[in-house]
Amino acid sequence: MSRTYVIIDSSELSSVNFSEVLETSADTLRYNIAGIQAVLKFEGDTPSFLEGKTQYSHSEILAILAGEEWTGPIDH
Amino acid sequence: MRYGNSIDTIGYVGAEEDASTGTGAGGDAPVQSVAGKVGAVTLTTNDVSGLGTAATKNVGTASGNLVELDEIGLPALNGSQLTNLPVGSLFNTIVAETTTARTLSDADCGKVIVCSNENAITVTIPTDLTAGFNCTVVQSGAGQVTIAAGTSVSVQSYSSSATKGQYSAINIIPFASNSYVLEGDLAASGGSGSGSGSFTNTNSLQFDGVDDGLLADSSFQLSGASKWTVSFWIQNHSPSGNENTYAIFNSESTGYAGNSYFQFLTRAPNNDGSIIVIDSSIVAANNSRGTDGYAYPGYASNVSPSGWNHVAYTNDGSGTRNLYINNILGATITGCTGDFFTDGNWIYGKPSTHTGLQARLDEVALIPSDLSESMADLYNFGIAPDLGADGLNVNPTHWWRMGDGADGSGNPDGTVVGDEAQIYDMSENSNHASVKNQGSFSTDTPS
Repeated sequence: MSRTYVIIDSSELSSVNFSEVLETSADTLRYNIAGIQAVLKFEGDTPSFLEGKTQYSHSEILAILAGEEWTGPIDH
Repeated sequence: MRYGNSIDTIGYVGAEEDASTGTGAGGDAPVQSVAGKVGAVTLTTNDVSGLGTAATKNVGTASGNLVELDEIGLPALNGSQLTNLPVGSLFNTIVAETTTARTLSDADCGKVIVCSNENAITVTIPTDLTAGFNCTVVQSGAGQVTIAAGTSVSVQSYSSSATKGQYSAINIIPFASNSYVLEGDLAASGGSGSGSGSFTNTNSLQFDGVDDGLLADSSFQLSGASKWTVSFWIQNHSPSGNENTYAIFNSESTGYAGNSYFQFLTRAPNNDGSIIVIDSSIVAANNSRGTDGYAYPGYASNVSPSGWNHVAYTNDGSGTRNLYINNILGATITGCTGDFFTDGNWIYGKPSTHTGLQARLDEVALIPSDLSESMADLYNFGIAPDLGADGLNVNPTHWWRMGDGADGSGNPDGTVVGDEAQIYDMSENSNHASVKNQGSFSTDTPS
């Protein structure tokens, strides 16, 4: 089953029922560098607390996460 | 009457006289006695027929002769007394195989098949061999030899059906109709042959590049004063084809600063890649890139951007650390005596690192010895070997097999805690790990 990805403001995390998404808890989320947004993913029906938010495919969310707002520089 | 010497006997040529109670040389009845006779008495084969054919054979090594035993008694094992024996009965015939594939035939029975190709070689046992077929297969070159079973043929072995390395040998032994067991210098894993002691690797853990992670139950350490080897297998599965940079073993809780970790970089367009170790203990130490703390071999063609790569980082306990990629030494660092991991339990995926690993990991092991001298065994021709007692027996302090070696209950690792699959630590320390954010298992493995 394909997975759907959504970006949510960190301030909205209190409304997230983690039993309806694939993340374990707020402690394991992928946050942007500023720490004000996070990514959630789910399979199947859209959880009610995520309705109305832009949904992304795997490749789409990867493209977003590759940006400077989400991926910090790695020295090499 | 006349007398004359012959080679074998004194010949009795007086056909006109009976030798005794017989009828003479020209008669039909065998001579029964020459008692009381003098001079040459000639006997024919008819006269000695009761003694069997041995009595009429010559001694010697020519065809049809009898072998005369020497002072040792038994026929000499060096063959000096035996000639014209069937080929293969005692002395092996050596058969050179220079290609990468051979299907055995009855003509190979009892022979030594010497495989010399530099690439992987497959020797197939077909179904039409005569019962009792046996032979020996030798790997004389760099190419690993795998014994494959043909249709309706069973090939069993305790560990694998592949040679262990150059100058290793496998004996093919029949034990039932179209069934063979392999013994000899078998690799820890590889090929299809397997028995009760076999090692299998059918799962790896796949990270989605977004937020998948893996967290051990308790922390693990790699101190500078101890000998150790970090060993793992990694395969990129990003479809982008561009450079990808991933951090592995970002074990600390406060981001990168002061931490040690690995980076895996691939460049699909260049068909190469690199593994970097950012070792916090070697900052300001003398290393291959000055004082920046990297063990960095540069981009190398031996790093596959799409296939499995084996990474090993060793410490000799005296300040020397080596980075190996696919059995090739990529970098050597000296003068680093600090700790590599101090108190980390994230094997991969601490969220605060702001990176995502879009790759598969397998057979992650922390081994309490410097395996620099055994790197070929650890690499094992690109097939993850058994690190346990039935294999390399390197006693890992932690060994996360990413979905294998479980309790047999059906799930890849047997147990789900909450909604998190568990990655068993197959070492005696049982530092199991939890898959965070629903990372998935893959059947693509280095096997």
